[in-house]
Amino acid sequence: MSCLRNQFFVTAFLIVFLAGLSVSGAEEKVTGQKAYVDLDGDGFDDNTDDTDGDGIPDRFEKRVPAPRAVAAAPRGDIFAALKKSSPVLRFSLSPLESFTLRQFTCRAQSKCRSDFESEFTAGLGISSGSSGGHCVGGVCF
Amino acid sequence: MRIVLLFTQLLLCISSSSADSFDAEFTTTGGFIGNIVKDSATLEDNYSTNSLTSNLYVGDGALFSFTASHTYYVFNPGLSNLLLKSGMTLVPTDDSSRWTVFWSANRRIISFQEEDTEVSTSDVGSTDYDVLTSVGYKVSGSASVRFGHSFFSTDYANKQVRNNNRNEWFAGGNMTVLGRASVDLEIGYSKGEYYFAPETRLHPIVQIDTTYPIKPGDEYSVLESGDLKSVYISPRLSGKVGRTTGYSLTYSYREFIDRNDRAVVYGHTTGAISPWASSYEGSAVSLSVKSYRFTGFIITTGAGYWDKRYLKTMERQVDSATGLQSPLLSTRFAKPRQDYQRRLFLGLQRPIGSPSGRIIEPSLRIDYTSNSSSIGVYDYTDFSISTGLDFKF
Repeated sequence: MSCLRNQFFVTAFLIVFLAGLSVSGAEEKVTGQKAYVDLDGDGFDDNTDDTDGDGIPDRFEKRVPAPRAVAAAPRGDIFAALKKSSPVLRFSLSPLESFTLRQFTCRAQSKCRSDFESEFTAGLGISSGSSGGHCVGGVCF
Repeated sequence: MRIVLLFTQLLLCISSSSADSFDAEFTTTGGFIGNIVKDSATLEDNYSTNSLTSNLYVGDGALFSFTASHTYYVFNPGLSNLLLKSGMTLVPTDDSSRWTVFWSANRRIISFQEEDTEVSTSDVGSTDYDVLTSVGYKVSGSASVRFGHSFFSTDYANKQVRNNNRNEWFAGGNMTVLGRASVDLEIGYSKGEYYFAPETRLHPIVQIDTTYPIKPGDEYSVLESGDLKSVYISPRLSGKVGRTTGYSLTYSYREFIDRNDRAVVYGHTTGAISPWASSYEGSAVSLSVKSYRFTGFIITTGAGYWDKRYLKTMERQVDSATGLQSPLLSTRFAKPRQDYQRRLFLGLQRPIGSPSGRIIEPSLRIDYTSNSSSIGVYDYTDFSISTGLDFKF
């Protein structure tokens, strides 16, 4: 029980500490209509443009990349439904683009956190043949 | 041969589809794993994994996905395995709607190389199913809620082993605080049938313990069934520190409801397949950091701590004089199992895009795990390192 209490206090301290860092580091003003939203839990604003779909937001690229030919669905604002005018231009999206856009709006729903370890590597997306979860020779690992 | 045919079929599927309704990903990974089965014996190996996923998009909100993945272990070839996965995902709601509905179903078959060798362990393969339905609602410009249900099932090739079925219900919310941090809270309830050896089972007439010893071949027939229920709560704080670094701090706590203290599951050394040996309650805290500090690279690192209390676990006794394991199994040898686990990881990705829209991504990953347990066989460390190359086209 004392271990649990210690863990709780450590976590609470870290939350306050990190929230404080977030405020003190707020050198960037939120511009336009888009609010900061982080549903995938990587710490970065989900609405940040990633034109070429390589996982690195445009603002961290050396030069503005060309749109990815097959998966450059316009993200726009995931809360566009709440605004009078949506910035998303709608002209004949392909099935791939349309699905990518729809899936983006429900990325917080695509998994639940009942597996405590699923959050640990969230977003890394590196395949590993060594990952466990199966039984071999009578042993589950 | 089976693998070659499957990969050929997937490649044919790729070539026959138009670019606006199809994409694919090929990943090849190789590395060293310091402890394959996560125990004190520390079985290490080199491995390589080749994986091909093809995605077919239909209409506005449907995806059909197929994956074939083969893992080869150099020094333990019997553990080499083939994973086949097929799945469907539906997102029927328009992206401009306040409501979002997500539905997915997947089937996953894993078969091990041992099935084709003289070492007859054809019973260790399994087929997994999962179905997830969830609904989200955007409350305001920076807040949303969600709720859903998921179902998991594992069907073992060895028909003596009962299916592992589990239902979960969850609800959560996400909101922005202080303009550049996000708080996410999720709660859930899980319920599934499980099979356990009762700690003691007295014969109705002669009143002797009939679970001692468990005779060879009776490992599964002595099991009784019950409900394994648990609840969990998991808050998460994420946000940015500076311009190029994001963090995510997650706390989780799970507790069994009406835990049966007489329930014993087969442990690692018994040789019996035991789907519920990995079920635990307890708490966990993890911190992940993602950085774009170096142009063109994605750096992800993290540390985590887990306090896990498992179901009472039975192992084979070891004779202190000879060092040999006892051939007898008995619930009398069952002990409470509590593990404390610490993990660190570092990941490095370098996506390289081409003008045609294809992406090649080399990656490096390093993992370290240290686990200490109240049962000696689960005291272990693991150091793993792998490199990968991912092609998205």
